[in-house]
Formats: sequence, C-alpha cells, structure tokens
Amino acid sequence: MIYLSGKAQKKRKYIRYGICAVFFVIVVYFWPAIRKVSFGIIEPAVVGYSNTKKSFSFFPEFFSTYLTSHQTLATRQKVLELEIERLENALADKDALLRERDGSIDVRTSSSLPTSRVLTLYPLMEDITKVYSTVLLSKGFKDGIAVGSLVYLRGDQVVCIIKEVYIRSSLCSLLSSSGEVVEGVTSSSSIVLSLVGRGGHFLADVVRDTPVQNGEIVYLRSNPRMIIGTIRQVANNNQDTSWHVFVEGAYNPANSSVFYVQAE
Amino acid sequence: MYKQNKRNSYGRSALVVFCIALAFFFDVIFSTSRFPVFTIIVCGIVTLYEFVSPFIYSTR
Repeated sequence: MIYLSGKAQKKRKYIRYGICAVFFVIVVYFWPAIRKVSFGIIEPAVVGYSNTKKSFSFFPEFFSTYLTSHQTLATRQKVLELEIERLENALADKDALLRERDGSIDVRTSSSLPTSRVLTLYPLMEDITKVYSTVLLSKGFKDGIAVGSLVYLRGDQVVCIIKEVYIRSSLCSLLSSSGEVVEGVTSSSSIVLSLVGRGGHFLADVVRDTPVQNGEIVYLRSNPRMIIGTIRQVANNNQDTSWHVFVEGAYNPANSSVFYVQAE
Repeated sequence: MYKQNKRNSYGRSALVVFCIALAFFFDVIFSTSRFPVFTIIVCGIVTLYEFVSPFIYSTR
C-alpha cells in the first residue's frame, strides 16, 4: 500500500474535486444534447421495466382467484356490476350536461366533437419528486400522439398537455404543476377563473362577491367539453380585496391509471 | 480503526454516486427545462455536505 504525504493527499483530493466540477459544468452546459442521447438509452429500459411490471401484476390476481371461495367471488362480481351501473349512470348524466351546454352556451363545441380516434394510454413512470410534475405515457409518435394534445381521464377530465413526443412514449406536463396557469370557466355562471397550479390542485383569485360556489364544476376555457376540476373551497374573508377559490383537479397519482388522448 | 474509516468512506461515496445517478435518471426521464434541475440540487447538497462534514465530525 502506498502512503501519501498530507500535501500529496490534499493535491489528489483537489484534482478529484476539479474533475467532478468540470464534469458537472459540461453536463449542465450541454444538457439538451446529453439528455437526448441518454433518453435514447434509458427509455427502452423504462418501457421494458414497465411492461414487465404490468405482466407480473397479473399473477397475484390469478392466485387469489383460485384460492378464494366461490361465494366471495360472486359477491365481488355483484359489487363490480353495481359499480359499473353507477358509473354508466354518472356518464349518462355527464353526457346530458354536455349536450345541454353544447346547445345553450357555446355553439363552437358542437364542431369540436371528437372525429379522430381516441387512444388509451397508461403511465410508464410518474414524477414522484414533483420537481417537473410530468408523467411519461406509454404511447408516442408511432401511435399518432402530437405535441400540444390534451390528455384526459375518464369523464373528459383534462389533466395534462403533451410536451414532448418520442417514438414509443410521450412526456405530459400536468396542468396542476406548480406555477402553471390555465384558464377555466365555472359551470353555473360562466365566470372566467385564472387557475394557478399548486403542485396537485389549483388556486384562483376572484374579485369580491363573485358568484362562485362550492361543488361547482370548472371547465377548460379553450375547450368547454373538458372538465378541469371541482371547486372545493371559497375563502371569502371580507377583509380581503379578492376571494380565493380552491379547485380540486382530477389527477391523482394513486388511482389515475388510464389516460386518453385524441390521435392525429 | 483505519479499516473502519476506510469502509465508511467507501459507503459514503457509493451513496453520493447513487443519489447523483438517481437524480440524473429523473432529469433524463421527466425534465422539461433547459437545465438538469434535480441533478443540480443534489450536487449542491453533496458539495455543501463536503464542506460542512469536517466541522460536524471533528473532535473537540
């Protein structure tokens, strides 16, 4: 073993730090190019991992089915049937509401009804750190995804916009990400709200005495067929010059597992 | 005593490398900005720790 003197050791340490610093500067300076190359290497691994995980998730269900009594399975099936029925009713109510809106409020929407096919996507990976508030989705350029497309959950609940498209995957930026501003319209009185993302939900300031109520649905202003969220709280302190409206978005990383988008 | 310190040192280096690699991975997959924000944050924390650690672990 070679024992270095204190001075030599210090020198070696500084050289190591210097190399790290130079490497760091290079990475930061050439980041777009480095990311492009790295993504090409990492993306297949992420897609492969996600597909494998999805295929494995079948096995617990398989075993539990064969180890559960017939009575329990029949009960579960009944519960699921009731749930499907409830969802179908809710969907019919929403359709009725949309038809009503199309006829009475905005004529433009009738022309923006979906004519192209709807794609179903699932999240390959979600940004749990919330630094970027993005979701990597399972379909890309090959499937007809375009930059700027609105991605929504069941019931036309818009959650994000496609920012980048790759061959087999696409990166979607959440509307509710911190600092992101989106315009919404309330369902009852068509009041325009400037919704600011708070990293999960939205916050909007409105002038005092604006008729906004709890439980009201907020639609996307640019496409009133899409629901942004529901008003959960109106902080109306009379000392304030403006009221604060808290809107709960549809996206929940724990249970949002199927996304939809209009293909080109 | 010497062996003990050496092992800890390797463990710390491995942890730092793992953290930076993880941050880089997140940046590559989820980044929408011009810079690798997450990697910069992690490297900042590591650098800060390198400067502060001698004072933390020094004996009285």
